Amino acid sequence: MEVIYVQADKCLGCKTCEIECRIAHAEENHAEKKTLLAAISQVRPPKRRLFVEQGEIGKTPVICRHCEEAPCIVDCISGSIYRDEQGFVRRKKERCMGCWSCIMACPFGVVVRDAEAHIAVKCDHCPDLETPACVAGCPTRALQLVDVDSLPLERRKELLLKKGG
Amino acid sequence: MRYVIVGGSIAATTALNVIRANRPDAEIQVVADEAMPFYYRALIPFLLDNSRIVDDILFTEQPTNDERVHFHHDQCIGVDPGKKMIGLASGTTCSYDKLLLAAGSSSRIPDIPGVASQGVFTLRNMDEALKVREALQGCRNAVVIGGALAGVKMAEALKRTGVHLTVVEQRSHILPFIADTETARRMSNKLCEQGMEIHSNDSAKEILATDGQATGVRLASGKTISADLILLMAGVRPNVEFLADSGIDIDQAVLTDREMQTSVVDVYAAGDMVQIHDAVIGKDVVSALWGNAVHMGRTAGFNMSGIKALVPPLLSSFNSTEIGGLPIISAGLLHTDSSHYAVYTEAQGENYRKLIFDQDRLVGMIFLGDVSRAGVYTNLIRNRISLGERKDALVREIMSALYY
Ligand SMILES: Cc1cc2nc3c(=O)[nH]c(=O)nc-3n(C[C@H](O)[C@H](O)[C@H](O)COP(=O)(O)OP(=O)(O)OC[C@H]3O[C@@H](n4cnc5c(N)ncnc54)[C@H](O)[C@@H]3O)c2cc1C
Ligand code: SF4
Ligand code: SF4
Repeated sequence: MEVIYVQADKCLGCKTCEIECRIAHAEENHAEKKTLLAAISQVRPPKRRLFVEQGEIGKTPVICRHCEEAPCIVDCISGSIYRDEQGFVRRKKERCMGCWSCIMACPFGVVVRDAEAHIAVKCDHCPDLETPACVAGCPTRALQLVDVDSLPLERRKELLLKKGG
Repeated sequence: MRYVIVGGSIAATTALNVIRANRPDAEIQVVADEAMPFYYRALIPFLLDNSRIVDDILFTEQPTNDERVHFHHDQCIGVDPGKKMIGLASGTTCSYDKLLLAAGSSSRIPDIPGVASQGVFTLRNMDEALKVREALQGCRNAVVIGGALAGVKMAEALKRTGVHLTVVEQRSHILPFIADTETARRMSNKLCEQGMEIHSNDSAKEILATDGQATGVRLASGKTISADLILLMAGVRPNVEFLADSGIDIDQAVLTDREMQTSVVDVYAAGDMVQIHDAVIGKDVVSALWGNAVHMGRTAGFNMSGIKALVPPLLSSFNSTEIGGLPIISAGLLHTDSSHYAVYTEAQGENYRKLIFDQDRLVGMIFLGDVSRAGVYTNLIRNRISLGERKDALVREIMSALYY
């Protein structure tokens, strides 16, 4: 399984990842022209699903870790949050009823409330793109895709702990 | 290996799925007294006003297409650990090597005259919700007795159908298990602005009826409220009666160790029928929380499969919902008068935040309105993280977030 690996020391705090995330999650009917302008001129501009925050050594992107025993899946009372075939933790839009239990559960604070649509919004690892938009957009490669399965166990543990910054 | 599971809700199915995944040799019998398919219990209020149809509240994955699993639509009436056998209401028995009890809880029926009248309902399962939906035809005034979370969720759904709605709560404020006085006041105001009537500090003394049909409720204060539909939402009690002669240790609910095994070997229990050890208040209490049922079901499933697992720290107060359009997330201790704790509050418009610390540990929180990043902090509570020097910075971070 490929995961997004964050190298905090490479982050400039430029927030390109946040912007690329919003563009990638622009509404479907804008899909043919996914640009920043199209995204922000939507009636309801898309929410970002990762956050450049102040970390211990400077700015760092904080992103869903698609946890192994995902607390957001445990606490979702409607079956909206699930693990897809690739192993990523996703949210079924039509099932969500805005109880915010996933926000209560996520230890990384990366599920957000879309108050207008009354649904929870989280990272979906961009299922329709070859590379998640944030990774593709990061100018310094502070965000990278790493195949955890190909790594030796020790390195894998280390990575899973560090992943997300 | 022969497994028997009593119950057909989230604790039962979580354990069932863990056993299916880990024991290819499993023969599993599930005894559930509600008809299939399985559904998300917390969503039944949405059936009342048709904002969800039945299909929309069914489990997204039904554990039915597995030939190792056999379902009985039946009720377990007793457990005989000596013979490793359970008895069913239909007169048959099931033998087990390992047994899981996941029978959840039932509505508590207040002991007042008139509860058997027509138009009076308890509401905890899908059948009851569909009956109430029927009864709503032509209904003008409804009363919900009990203003805890499930009662208020039902009240909001009924209100959306256009009936005039009154909630009666015997405690000093509604939502006693998820809110403190201040948050409850703010949410009550919201609900009242939206046309709901709330009588707290008052209790139902009698259901008034004419020719067996309910017509209203008489309260302790002497007030009477007319109603053609009355919901009894006065709390729940764990379903433990059928275990009376089993020898399984029970206090307020079934007692287990951290592997979810009861006092009787090879008999496990999970979900609302289990008394949990609250990681914050340090006491053994009954909780009625979805996430706790998942954790317990999963832990029981692993241990029953022969894989050792311990249940993580659980809280009896760990809630998230939206009421009157206001989100609320609360966890741990919500109120204290003791000077042993440090309490911080901050209000900004509709947003309100409260933090309770025991020395350098966060032990309780309420976020009303703006609930962003709440999980970061509920996890500090659940895992009893000692913050040391970081405490003051944390308080600043949480409170100042309301201003940008
Ligand atoms: C309206 C409502 C809203 C809720 N909202 C929330 C929420 O927002 N967040 C939250 O955390 N929790 C919420 N809850 C609570 C949550 O639904 C429960 O904690 C959870 O369902 C407990 O699951 P369980 O598997 O232990 O038992 P239950 O869901 O109670 O299921 C037990 C099952 O076992 C069956 N059974 C009982 N006795 C027997 C027997 N002797 N033989 C065979 N079968 C038997 C019952 O009929 C039932 O189907 C809500 C509950 C309600 C009713
Ligand atoms: S949303 Fe949070 S809890 Fe859920 S998988 Fe992502 S990081 Fe884990
Ligand atoms: S807000 Fe939606 S996705 Fe989150 S726990 Fe509630 S129903 Fe599940």
